[in-house]
Amino acid sequence: MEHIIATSNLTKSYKGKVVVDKVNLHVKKGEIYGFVGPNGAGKSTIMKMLLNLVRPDSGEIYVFGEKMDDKNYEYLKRIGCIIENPYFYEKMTGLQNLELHCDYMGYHDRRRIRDVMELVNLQNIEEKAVSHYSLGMKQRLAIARAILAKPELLILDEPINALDPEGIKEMRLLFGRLHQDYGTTIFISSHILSEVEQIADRIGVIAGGKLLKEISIHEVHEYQTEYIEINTDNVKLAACLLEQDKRLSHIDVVDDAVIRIYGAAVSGKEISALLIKNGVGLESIGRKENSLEDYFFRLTEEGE
Amino acid sequence: MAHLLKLEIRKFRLPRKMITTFLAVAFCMLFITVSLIDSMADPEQTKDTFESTFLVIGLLVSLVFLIYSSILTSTLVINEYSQRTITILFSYPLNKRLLIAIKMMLIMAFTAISILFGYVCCCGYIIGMDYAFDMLEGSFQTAYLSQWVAMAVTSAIVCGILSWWPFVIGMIRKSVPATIVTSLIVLFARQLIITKTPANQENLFQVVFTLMVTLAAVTIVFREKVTKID
Repeated sequence: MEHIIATSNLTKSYKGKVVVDKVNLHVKKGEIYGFVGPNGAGKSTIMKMLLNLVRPDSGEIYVFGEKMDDKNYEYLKRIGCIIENPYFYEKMTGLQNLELHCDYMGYHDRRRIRDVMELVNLQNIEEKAVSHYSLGMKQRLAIARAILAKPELLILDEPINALDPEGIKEMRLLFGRLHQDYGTTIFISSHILSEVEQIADRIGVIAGGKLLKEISIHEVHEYQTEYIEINTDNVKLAACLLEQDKRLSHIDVVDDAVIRIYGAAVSGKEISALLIKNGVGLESIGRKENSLEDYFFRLTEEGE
Repeated sequence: MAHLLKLEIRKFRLPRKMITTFLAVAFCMLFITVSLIDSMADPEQTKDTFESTFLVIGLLVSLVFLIYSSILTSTLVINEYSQRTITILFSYPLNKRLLIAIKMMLIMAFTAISILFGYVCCCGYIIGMDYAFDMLEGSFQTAYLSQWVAMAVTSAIVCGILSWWPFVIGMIRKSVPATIVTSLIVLFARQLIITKTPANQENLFQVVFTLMVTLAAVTIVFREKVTKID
């Protein structure tokens, strides 16, 4: 599979502190790649390096199969992006900002401006100065600008920040459509893991500047097994009873009060009856599911 | 390059900024008028000569337009960094250094042309006023013109070169106040230097020296600061 973005040992330090540490990133052509990590993990810095806004200390970057360097900027014609916050020329209208974008990108289809304004639901306020836009509206305009020149690759740094739930859903559908209809590769970072989970084909988990894992969302779902979680005052006895009486083998003692049983063929009712009969104090019992969030936290904790 | 130049002119509505140039020239004329009327009204004061009035015009015009050029530098360059629109600009398929150089060349040309325009308007004004109201000592002679043109062109070139200094300091701090304050310091320093020369004007050595030092500082800033985004 052809990689549209690939990095090799990408490293960057600021004032002696390593913020990106030997990152080997691989984004395949035509996929939606979710880039997740806590604040300060290095996501934005990597995205800036991909756009040639920040120079790496060491390592290599390949975009569209070509090695990137300082003098190479033609590849940027094929990329749409949102970096950090949505920045605009505030005194200009939304329409003027998009016209300017077309001029700088060398993109001549002006009808497309109205189309993208409609796509992001800003069709009635094109003539309003951007300084009068709300943060959510600016975010929509930034998305409009990013997709305006029909880029092959979208690099989106927290694009759904400041959007309301309806806006988030609209943008999720829009990204899905761009991906399906035009085969656009989308490299998207977000701290809203449930959103990434809904649109991404693969995710990369980064923490402390290190890329901890690249994994397909199908593989993540394999981790999303159901389990029964028991809160009890005697984990040792409870675990012993469950093993001996119910022949349960996948028992995970999480801490002094919590036990998790994976792949259990018994009901919660049966388990509570067993524990109460043997005098084990039961605080709570219920079925739960591992989410991307759990997976993410487990990875980042291991990473630390 | 011409395309980028056009874009910058359109983006910052530079044609509209010509209005400010006209207002600035009008301010210089008003200042000169007040000064001339004052010397005419007071019988104890001697009338100004063409030479001294020309020096005042040179001082005023370079003061006004060097400050104005620092405001343009802030608007066209420094604000792009401080308001972070530079991240968008630098994500376009353009040579980053060329982009900033074009902005600065635009400012330098604008400053030099405005200064020449200011000289032409103000000198024409005092010649006209003297012809109508005999406001100056002696009468205007065409021989003045060759001297004035040379001095005005030198002044426009020097101020065009000096207009890079607010950019240099402004880029180090990425700060609008630093940019504007630098223009005042540059003006003050220039004034200190030229008042010590007989013609109140830079000589060739000073012009070349200023150009070399400015070029060195600009080269360092272009190498170290222009493409760096915090």
